[in-house]
Amino acid sequence: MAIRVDPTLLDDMERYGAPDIKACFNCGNCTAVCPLSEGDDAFPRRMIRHVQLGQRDALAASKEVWMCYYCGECSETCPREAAPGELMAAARRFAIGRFDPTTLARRMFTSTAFNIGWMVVLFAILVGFLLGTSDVLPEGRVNTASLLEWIPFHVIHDMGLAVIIILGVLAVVALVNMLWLLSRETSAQGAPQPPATPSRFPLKAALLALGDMVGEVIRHRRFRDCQTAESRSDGPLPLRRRFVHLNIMFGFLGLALATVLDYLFKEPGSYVPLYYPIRLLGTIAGIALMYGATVAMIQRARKPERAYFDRSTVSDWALLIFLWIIGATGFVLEIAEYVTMSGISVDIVFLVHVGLAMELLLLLPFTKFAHIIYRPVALWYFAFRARRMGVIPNNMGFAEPQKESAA
Amino acid sequence: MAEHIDEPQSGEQPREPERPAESGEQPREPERPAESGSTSPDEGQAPVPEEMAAEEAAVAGGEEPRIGVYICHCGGNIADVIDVEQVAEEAAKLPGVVSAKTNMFMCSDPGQQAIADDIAELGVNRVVVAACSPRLHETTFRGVLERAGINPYLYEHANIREQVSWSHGDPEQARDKATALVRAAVAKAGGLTALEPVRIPAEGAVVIVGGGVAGLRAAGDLARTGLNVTLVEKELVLGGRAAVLDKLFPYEEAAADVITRLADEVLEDTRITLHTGTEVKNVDGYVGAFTLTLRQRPEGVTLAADPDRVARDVAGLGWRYEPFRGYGPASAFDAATPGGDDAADTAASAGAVPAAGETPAGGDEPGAGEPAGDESAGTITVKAGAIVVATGYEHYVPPKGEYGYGRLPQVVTLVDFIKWLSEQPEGGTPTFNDKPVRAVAFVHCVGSRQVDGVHKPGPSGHINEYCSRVCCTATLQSVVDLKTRFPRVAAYELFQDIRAYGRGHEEYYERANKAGAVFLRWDGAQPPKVAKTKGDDFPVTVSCIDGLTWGEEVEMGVDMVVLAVGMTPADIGGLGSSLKIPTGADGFLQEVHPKLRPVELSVTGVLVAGACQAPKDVTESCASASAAAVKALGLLATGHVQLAPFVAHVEAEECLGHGHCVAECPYPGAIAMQDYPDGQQRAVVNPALCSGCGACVAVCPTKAIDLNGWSLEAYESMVDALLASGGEVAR
Amino acid sequence: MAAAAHHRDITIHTYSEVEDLQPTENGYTATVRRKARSVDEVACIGCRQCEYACPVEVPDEFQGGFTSRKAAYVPFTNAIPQVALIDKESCTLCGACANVCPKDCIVYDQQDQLIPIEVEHVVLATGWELTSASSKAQYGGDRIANVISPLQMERLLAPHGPYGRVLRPADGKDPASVAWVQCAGSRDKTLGVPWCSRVCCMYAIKQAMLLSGALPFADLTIYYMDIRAFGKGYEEFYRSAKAMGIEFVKAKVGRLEEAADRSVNVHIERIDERGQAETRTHDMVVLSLGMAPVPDTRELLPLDLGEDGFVDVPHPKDAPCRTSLPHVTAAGTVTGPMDIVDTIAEASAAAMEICREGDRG
Repeated sequence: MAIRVDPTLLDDMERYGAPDIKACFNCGNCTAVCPLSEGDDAFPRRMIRHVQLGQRDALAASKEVWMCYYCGECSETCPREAAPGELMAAARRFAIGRFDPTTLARRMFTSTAFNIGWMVVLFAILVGFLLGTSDVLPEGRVNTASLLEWIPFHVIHDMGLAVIIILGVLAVVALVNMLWLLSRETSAQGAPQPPATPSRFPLKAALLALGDMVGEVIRHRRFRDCQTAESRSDGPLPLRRRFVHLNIMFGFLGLALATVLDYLFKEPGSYVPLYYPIRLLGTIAGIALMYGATVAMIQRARKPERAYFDRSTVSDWALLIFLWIIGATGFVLEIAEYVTMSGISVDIVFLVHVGLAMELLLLLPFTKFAHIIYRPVALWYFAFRARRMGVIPNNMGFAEPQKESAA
Repeated sequence: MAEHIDEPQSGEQPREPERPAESGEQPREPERPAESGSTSPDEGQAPVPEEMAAEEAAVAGGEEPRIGVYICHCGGNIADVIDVEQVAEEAAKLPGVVSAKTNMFMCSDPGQQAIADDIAELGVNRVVVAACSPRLHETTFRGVLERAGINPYLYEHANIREQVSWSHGDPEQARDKATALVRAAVAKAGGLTALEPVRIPAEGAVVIVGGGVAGLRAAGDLARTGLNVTLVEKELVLGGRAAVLDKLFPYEEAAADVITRLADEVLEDTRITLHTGTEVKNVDGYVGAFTLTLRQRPEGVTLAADPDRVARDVAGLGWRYEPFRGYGPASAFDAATPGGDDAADTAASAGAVPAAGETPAGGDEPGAGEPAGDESAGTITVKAGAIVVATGYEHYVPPKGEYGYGRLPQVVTLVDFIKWLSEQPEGGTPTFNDKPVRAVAFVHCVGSRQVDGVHKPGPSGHINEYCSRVCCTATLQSVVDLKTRFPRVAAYELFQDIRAYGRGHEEYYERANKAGAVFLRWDGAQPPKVAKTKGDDFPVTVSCIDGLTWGEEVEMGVDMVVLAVGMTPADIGGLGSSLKIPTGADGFLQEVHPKLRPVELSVTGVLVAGACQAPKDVTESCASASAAAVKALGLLATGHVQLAPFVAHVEAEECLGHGHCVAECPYPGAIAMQDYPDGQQRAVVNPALCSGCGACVAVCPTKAIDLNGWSLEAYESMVDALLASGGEVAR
Repeated sequence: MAAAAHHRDITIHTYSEVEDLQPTENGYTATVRRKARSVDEVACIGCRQCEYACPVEVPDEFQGGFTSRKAAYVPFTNAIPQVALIDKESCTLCGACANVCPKDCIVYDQQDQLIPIEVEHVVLATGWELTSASSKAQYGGDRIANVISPLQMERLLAPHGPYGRVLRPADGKDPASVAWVQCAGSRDKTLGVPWCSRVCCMYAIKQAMLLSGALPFADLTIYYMDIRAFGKGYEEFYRSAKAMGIEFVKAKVGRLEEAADRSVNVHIERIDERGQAETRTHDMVVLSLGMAPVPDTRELLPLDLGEDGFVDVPHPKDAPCRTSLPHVTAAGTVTGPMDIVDTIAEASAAAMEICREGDRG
């Protein structure tokens, strides 16, 4: 089956934030210098070629879009200055747009005006819901209880549930989209195929793959490999991208866990001391998140001589800003628990905190944040294929591709 | 001493005997048409060699040969294999040798100085150098002799590098062979006599064949040096192949402007004679004294060199540039279009003009623009001292079916595309045959870089293996042009290698990429396929095994396919067959040496300029044209041409007129039988045409003819010397 | 060289630079600085005794830095003129050369000479420079011993080269595998050299062909982006190189690293049907560096320069050697990268421009 060229994808990629990629003349330098390219898992040129030929499905279904951590070496050494690293980022946006059934992601990625406008509108809607049932203004000392009088707990609870349900449905649909596309593309490509599916589901392979994926996500082994001679000397450990991302990731996960545990085990509005385990977890996670988000924003703003900060889109900034504000407002609220504060300002902080948190979750499938669901699932899927073929998967931080032992 | 025989009366033409017709050659006409002011071989030249041979050669330091032998180490090239000191020792023992030396590099300054010192101080009057091939430094060493004040032809060279140290490994055998060769060279050197170069008076005129950019450039240059210039152009208009172009890369200058600039320089110069619609039918003569017979079509125009012709009034001459057709007088454009606009373009772009003696391939091409019938043409005769061949190239015409050419109307050549694009109105969608053009595929290397077994040979019987040099950049320029004017049209570039080699060329590649052109790479053995689409939006589908996509098959729907056709050498007709100009394996005219003598052909006095020698762009053609012009100037500036003296000479008293020499001689006109006043017919050599091959010497039954500098006696003495080595010579 | 040196109408000033060109009514007054050789050129016979006696050894630039030369030396084997020269920066003034010179022509305190010359015409033929081997950090920054420049490879291949054969510089091993990295100094915006240097494809193929004769069992690989064999006979030469077994791999080399045994690891992505990211190892690697303009053209003459730094002329299509200044022509690589074939044609074309100038109508 011949590949039919669709010349329109190149122009689309410009809108997804990779205007320079047209300059690519397929020299292969980017793939050659990429520290994560291994054997057949070679990128980014393969992605660029998909773009040049207009192979939309192949692009969205590739493993490589999720393998790239954007060290920027490819962009720094590209003889045409075509910014292949930026293309990888744009390809991720494209993939997210492709899996989202609502076309909202596509619009947000390709139009700055729409992106910002929609975020503002959605925030207003959420705030509207939050405030819609309240006509009480708290007075006096502020504490969680008084805040909850202003915006009743059940409102937050119901809205939260609604958000999670919507998010869940969208995520499931999008992930099904992705898995279906991956399955179709990988069986069409003529690459080695796993043995024909036996009548029962290959559970062992699936579980092994799950282990591979979780191990990689938690340990960020490939992230550690994603560096160049130059970026290896990017300063002390606390400033390096892997460390910063670990903080953001675990910070967010910790806070999400604390929120769930709070909902399950804590009386809403009740006072707990700082050393209360859930509160402690939340605080530490919050510090991690704030640290990561702050350093990330500073680095992105100062644009050191690293290609990966050359071009920041709204999507890049929005995620960081959201996380930072949610974290900062959270800390203000926490401090307000233990230190006397009064006034309407804390109420606003509370409103912003809840509103943005809900918005962040609602917009998850449509923004850069979506990588937290797509990437693990994609990694799992390719590890699953490899495990079914009896090999240890590539690009998961193992030393080299090797056959499994008989056991 | 030889008795002096009365020379034949001057003014009589040498009568040439009938020569048997050789395969592929026309039998020579027994008589030439009457020419005025012709130069016969024995008129007005320096004393002919037979007279020289009859005189005693003046030798520096007396008649006794005093031979200096100089053996070169050549760095190690020779000395690593041959013990050169031993060879020098042996040489010193030879009779006549007064000095035998070695040097690390004989050609270096100190090496040369050693020879010069021996000439001055030891009275050396014959020099033998044993070193690398004479092709490299024979002239250098002759120069040493000349500077030292003795005749440069009292010099003999032995090649002990290519013939000994580079081809034999055993040191003893190599030394013995080198010694033998030196012995032979010394033997010959002893018998050498001083020689004078052959001097021929040279006509101060140049004929330039071809009025494209190269011919125009050469004409403009040469007119400004005081030589008479005649420019001959086959078409009715000037500008050659550049005339079918729109803009020239990389500076986007209009082809019209460049051609007009070059042509105006020619037209404004009243010292230049211009003949359009004219071809060279025949060339006789030799350097310094060529006679060209031209044939001009009735529509052709002649502008005579005439100081009274209105100078600097090009406009008054009524010449103008017409896009894609050339630069000419108004009548030229009318005359060239009996069938409407396309005929001239067909004539300009239709290649495959049959080579001499061959029939055109296929029957599908419309008749190429050959003038009809000889009866209506005028004959012009021109004398020249040198000829510059600037006959240019033709565009490759794909055979019917190659990439669908001739079968699918959507398949065109790049030349057609350039014109088509220039005619599209601004804005909107371009249309071809009234259908919108949404996507165009460009296929590189059509008619170039062909592969045996994949491509069919052309009319020459060969495939074109060579690269046509300019097509990559020209195609990229067209793509950029297309995308700049019509960004919505998709462009697909199917290439083997992108050869955008020149200054400013790579930029087109980048611009084509940035404009969104999609590039696909195919390998010579698997060219792209072009097919009519069944039931699709696009009329034509092009498919390609794409190296950039891991060898997968990629296909694209297009509305037009543009073939980047290459260059084929133009047919040079009478010029080529009269002068026997050699062509290379690629069919282009063969220069003597690509680096040392890039604009000279092996026929002395004939220079080559422009794309007839190899594919070139306008810049390179103009540079080569100026180079050819300055070489022509160098030949003719002194008023005479000087040739090496190694020509045959006849001892008149020995010659009994058998005529075997004439029959054997491969160079027409070099020897002829002539009537002497005493009634006897004898052979007479024309030194200008003689190449010194010696075939005549081999067949003369009376040994009346011999070569200057390479006499039979010399050969005998060399053979004796080699045999005296007693069979030590390496086998 | 020899023909020009011995021509009665040509005077050659070597070891000299044109310092200044002042326009005059009919041309220019050129001030030539003839640098001091510290040797009486007229008396010197090129016997090299000074060279043999000199105790100072420095890296020999002519031999690519592979061997050494003395402070007093004859520049190279067939130098014209074949006259000695003392490198003042390395000379220790020990006097050994003066002691042995048979012609007594060492002049330690010789001064530069400034020679004014009146000319009617100036030909600018100042040539080019090799792009820098160190500017691409990914290629080792000129610190890997077995990664060499193409001129160094020319010396290794030359009959009068430093070793008389091709050896790899780090340890003198006979290389079993040699690779060329094309476009190592051209077509690369990260180097500031976006242009094509035109000659590198062909010289790499030539070097590989020579090496296939000198080392018939060596693996020879050329890594390229495009093979620009565009000239007469070039495509045929390329095909015969392939037939000789030289491997041509379409891949722009991304990175070079030195392996433990001093070999060179080459990181590429093959661009063909088997294309994937690969690391291959070679004993020696040649960087096919490019042509850059000489930097000081404008100091002499107010010529127009292109963005690339090469000289621009007003009519580059029909008069490529005619500059914007009267009485000044340009020839060869000063106007842009080109090979010997095109340079020779331009040289003759420049001569023609001069001959034309005499014509007043």
